Amino acid sequence: MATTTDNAAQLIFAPNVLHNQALTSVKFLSFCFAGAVAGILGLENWLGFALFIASIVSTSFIIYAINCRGKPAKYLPGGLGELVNPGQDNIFTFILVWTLFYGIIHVYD
Amino acid sequence: MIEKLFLTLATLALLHAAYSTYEHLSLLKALGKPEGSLPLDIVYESILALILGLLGASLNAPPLKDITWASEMKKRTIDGMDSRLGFAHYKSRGKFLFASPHDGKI
Repeated sequence: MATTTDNAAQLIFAPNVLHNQALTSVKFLSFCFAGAVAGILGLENWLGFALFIASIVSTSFIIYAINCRGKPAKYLPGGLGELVNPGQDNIFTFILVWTLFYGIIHVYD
Repeated sequence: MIEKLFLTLATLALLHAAYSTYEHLSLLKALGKPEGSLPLDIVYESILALILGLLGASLNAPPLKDITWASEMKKRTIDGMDSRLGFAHYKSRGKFLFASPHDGKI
C-alpha cells in the first residue's frame, strides 16, 4: 500500500534531480570567494561569521533569481529551504579559505 | 562565455586586493605605524570581487531541469513510455485501406 511520501516521490523524475545538484558547486564557489574576502579584509571573530551569513543570503538570492528564475519548488525537491541551506561542508570551506588568506596576508611575515 | 569572464575577473580582483593589502601592511610595519583600517579602495575591490564571483558562479551552472514527471512527459510520447504490449496485434488492414477503390476483386 503506497503511503503519502511514496505518492509524492513518484511524481519526481530522479535523473533531473541529480542534474540539479550542480547547484552545490555554485554554493561551493560562492563560499570560497566569501572566505577569501573575509581573509583579505582581516575580519575576525563575529564579523567574519557575519560575512558568512551575508554571503548565504546573497548566494541564495542570486540562485533564486538567476538559476531557479523565481520558482525554486520547480527545480528543487526541498524547495526554498534546500536553496538557502549552504550544505554541510561549506561552512568549513569558508573557514578554511578565510584562515588561509588571513594567514598569508596578515600573519605571514 | 560571460560567466567565465566574471569568474576570471573576480579571481584577479581578489588576488590584486590580497596583494595590495599585504603591501599596505608591509608598508605600515616598515614605517612602524600602528595598524589602522584598510584603505577603502581595497575594501571596495574585494566586495566587487565577491559580487562578480557570486554572479559568475551562478551563471556558470548549467540550466536547471524541471523535476516533475509531468514536465518530462512533455518531451516524450505516451507510446514511448507504455507500449501496452498485451494489446499489440500484428494483423494489418493496409491491404484494404490502401487498395484502389475499383480493384474489381472484392
